Amino acid sequence: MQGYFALILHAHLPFVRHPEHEKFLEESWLFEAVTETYLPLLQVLEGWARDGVTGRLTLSLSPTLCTMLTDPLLQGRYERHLRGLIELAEKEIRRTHWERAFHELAWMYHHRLTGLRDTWRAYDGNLVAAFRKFQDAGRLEIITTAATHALLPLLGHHAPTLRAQILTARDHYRAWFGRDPRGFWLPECAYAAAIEPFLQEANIRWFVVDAHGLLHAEPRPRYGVFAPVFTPDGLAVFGRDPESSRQVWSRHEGYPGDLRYRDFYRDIGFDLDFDYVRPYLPSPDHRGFTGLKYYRITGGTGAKEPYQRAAALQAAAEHAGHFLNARVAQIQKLARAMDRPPIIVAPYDAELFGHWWYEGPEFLDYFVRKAAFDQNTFALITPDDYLREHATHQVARPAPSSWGEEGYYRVWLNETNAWIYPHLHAAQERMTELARKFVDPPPLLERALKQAAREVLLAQASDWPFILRTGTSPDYARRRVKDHLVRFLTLYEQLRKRRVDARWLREVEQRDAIFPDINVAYWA
Amino acid sequence: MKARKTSTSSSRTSGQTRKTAKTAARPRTRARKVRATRAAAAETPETPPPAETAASPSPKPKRAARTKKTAATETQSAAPASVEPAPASPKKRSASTRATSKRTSPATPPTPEPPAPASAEPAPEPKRPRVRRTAAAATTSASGEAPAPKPSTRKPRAPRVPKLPPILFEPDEPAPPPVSGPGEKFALGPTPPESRAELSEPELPEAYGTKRLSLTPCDPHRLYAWWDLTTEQQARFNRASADGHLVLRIFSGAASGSPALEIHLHPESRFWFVRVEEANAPYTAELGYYRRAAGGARRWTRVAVSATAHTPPETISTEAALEFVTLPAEVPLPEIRALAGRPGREARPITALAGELRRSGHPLFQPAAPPGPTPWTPERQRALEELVVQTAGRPTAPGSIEIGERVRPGAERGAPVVGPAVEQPGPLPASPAGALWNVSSPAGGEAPLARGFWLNVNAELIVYGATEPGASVSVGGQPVKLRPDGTFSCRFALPDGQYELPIVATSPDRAETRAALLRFSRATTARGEVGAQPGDPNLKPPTPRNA
Repeated sequence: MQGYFALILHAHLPFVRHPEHEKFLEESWLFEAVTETYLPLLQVLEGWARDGVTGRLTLSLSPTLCTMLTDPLLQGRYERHLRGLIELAEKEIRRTHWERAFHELAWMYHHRLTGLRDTWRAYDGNLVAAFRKFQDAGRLEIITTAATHALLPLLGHHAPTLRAQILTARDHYRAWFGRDPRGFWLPECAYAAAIEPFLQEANIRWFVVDAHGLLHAEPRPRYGVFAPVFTPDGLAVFGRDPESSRQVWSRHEGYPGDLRYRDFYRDIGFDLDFDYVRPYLPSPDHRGFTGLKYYRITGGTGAKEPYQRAAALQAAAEHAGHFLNARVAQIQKLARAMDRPPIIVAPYDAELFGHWWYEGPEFLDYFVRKAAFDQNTFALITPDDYLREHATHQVARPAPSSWGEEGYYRVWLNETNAWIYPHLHAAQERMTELARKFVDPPPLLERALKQAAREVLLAQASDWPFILRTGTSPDYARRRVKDHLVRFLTLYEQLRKRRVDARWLREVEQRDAIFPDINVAYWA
Repeated sequence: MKARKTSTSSSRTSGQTRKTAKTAARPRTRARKVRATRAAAAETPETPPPAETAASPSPKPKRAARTKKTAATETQSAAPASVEPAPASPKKRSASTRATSKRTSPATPPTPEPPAPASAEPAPEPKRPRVRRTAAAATTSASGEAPAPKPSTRKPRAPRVPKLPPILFEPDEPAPPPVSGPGEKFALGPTPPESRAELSEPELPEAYGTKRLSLTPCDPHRLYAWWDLTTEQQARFNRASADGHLVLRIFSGAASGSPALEIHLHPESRFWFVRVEEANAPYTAELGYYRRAAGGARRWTRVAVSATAHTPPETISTEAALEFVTLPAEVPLPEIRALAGRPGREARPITALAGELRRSGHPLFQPAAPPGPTPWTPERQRALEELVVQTAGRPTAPGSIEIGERVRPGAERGAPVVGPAVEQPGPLPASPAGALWNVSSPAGGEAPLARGFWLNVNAELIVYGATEPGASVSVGGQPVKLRPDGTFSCRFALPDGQYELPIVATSPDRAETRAALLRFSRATTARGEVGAQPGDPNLKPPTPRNA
């Protein structure tokens, strides 16, 4: 082998759980991702295990996502959602009887959905346990990320807050996966040196930054993004490879734009009679995605053409072959120039594969199979595997950076969302004040203290400023930030006065039920 | 939006993208109306109304005040914008502002600004923010500088201004968001959902009154400064200020000597985005005001000073020192401290301790021989640097949130792009040109015509009936599930064509049968372009044989 390739998928969704509503629009984020990304990914992993495909994958599962995937309320709701989808597919099989192209697609959806239901049931609806099984079998390296996916450099370098975000994630990873995480996904690849002491405390050994975060390191890294560096704190830093990223994303070279692939937006939830699709919509009062989409990207401005599954899978196979050949050529070229085997690190948001790029799981499947059987230039490994093979690296300090727009923090800090941060900073300092004041509180105060910590963490999620910036659901994002901060401030006042409203506290605990064993001492 | 750009010289002002809580909920049609109105007033340089406060109890600026301020700035010429003004609250925002920058000689100590034309009590009308770029950072042209106001003891006459419709001051919607595929995990449809009234919002405190000033780098040339003052505190400082408002100073390095920038703030601003010159450089902010001293002088009073913030680097470092260490993956990092005889939170970096262990001969910390085929040479170094440099610079690789303009539906899409321009290892096999801008599709319809009017028509057929509960029914040869009361219904897409649909019911005891044969025909004629979905001409009628 001349080099290595590390494929990293980062799976994350913010904590959205609304027991107070029978059906809640934003819960569909989870349901869509389960149907289109997480379950198909498990099916792909099963296929690799069945067929003896070697090669390891890295999967980042955020603590908020793990919490939702193991939550009985959301599991029950997902089952209901999946049942509804299958029912809709059955209706579609009948309805499209005289529309032959759609009729075949309706059958395809029915087949896929019932297959997904089988997978769901095989794991008893617990996808965290399912992924753990593959980690335990040595096919995956699962890593964690900040507890609520906070953009760490924007937390004001408030040490207790950074520590709480990192160690809370570590603690819950232990509970879910029965071991310590070795890698840590920096939310949005956002790096600042202030986080390192706490990564070190958590015995994290590696993380990833965007290419410029490593290339602008001090001193300059000899091998660019093709080998990790050690920070002075002893953490290995891998850089995202621009070329392999570009081939998936670029407007010139990006695969998901192929005209044969399924169109993301065109959904029968918008196309068909409202009364007909209404029972299957994420919110009964608004048109929305059902997940049944009948058109391919097509191109041009004319009418969309029906999706043809076979042609789309052919495209995925071609793209996987192209991606493989490109990696082989890239690694061969690098190997000639380096005195050590290069490593190409290619991280992607997991939801790219399946949810947005419908054929993404098949692309992954084809690529990994081809990499396992059709070449011997590189090995598919995880960053931790690489560090175990190669323990000597240059020392350098990465540069503050992110993988967001323009490479820094402007997506999460701009005119649409800047108002959040003064409140976050006030809350995190008050949380530290509480943690220092109440060292061994009585049970009710302890519960209030833990809930206050949960509310601070939930308010810090990077998803809220992101959504405020992108405008996909700004009312909801704004409301979430305010809800958590107001709940925190209420708890803060009640704790200060030592007069906790037990009834209200119970309501809040049931609503924001995350991190049951949260350790408030991290904020002290 | 474009109207603003006509008079703005360089950097974008915050009003161009700012959106706040309240405006986000507004229907898009209104925003378009605002833009249209602005376009009509394109020759009028705009200036923001004073920022409004977050919490409702505080007094809000009146429309009249906004209009006056706008008029005041109409007399200003365009100037390089080095700051980006910020709104005071999440719910409302100020419109765009162009800052005035002013250079001073490097040797000149910070001279007090001439006294403001208005007296400090009551606070004068909100003024346009001024930025004074002092020598430390003023290296760019300052053409178009606005002259500083001259000292005057006379109360100025209220400027006569044309009345502008209040809608001009309403916020814009932000620029189309650069969301990409994974960012679309938050998509709830091709367009954001309508505002939901049931999401009544709790209110946060407007501020906490800590008087803290915070400075955060957003990127190599932009800092975010915010200060925590209650409305009362801020009003008190404004009253004490000779200018009627606070001033933000930005220093290169520590807060001493001459500031690199001096920004006169809106009286109600609570944060500010500041453009700075240098990447990879320390900056410190200071908040304060000038108060009037004896003899007409002005004396600086500090309110708060921030911690020093460091802007990120934007280039590859020139520092090429090489230090390699070995950190065995199987040894936990805290144990390395113990092995080095320095347990606990000792200040020395782990890598330094690993170096000590290597020098002391510890076997785990000895470097492995480079596994490459040949040793490191200058030729290799040059070859590798060429490859490394190819990956440098931003944006080299679109992030998870960057290709939105290529995937957003409808009119927000950018220009068409070419298909895969594959550099290596060869063209994609038989792959049709993929243009990401075509990934999206407007909701539920074909592409609109030039004028935007369009029509899609389709038809469905609903067959319904009832029989004895427990009976068996087939429609088109397929069994149908009866409801408990024996009713049933089926829905069919009905493209153009002629169809027959047999319906057969069998009694629960299988002794009797009833059947019906329904015949349907659909033929569509259209005038103008009408979206239609004609059926497959080869499609056979849904008889049981064909079903």
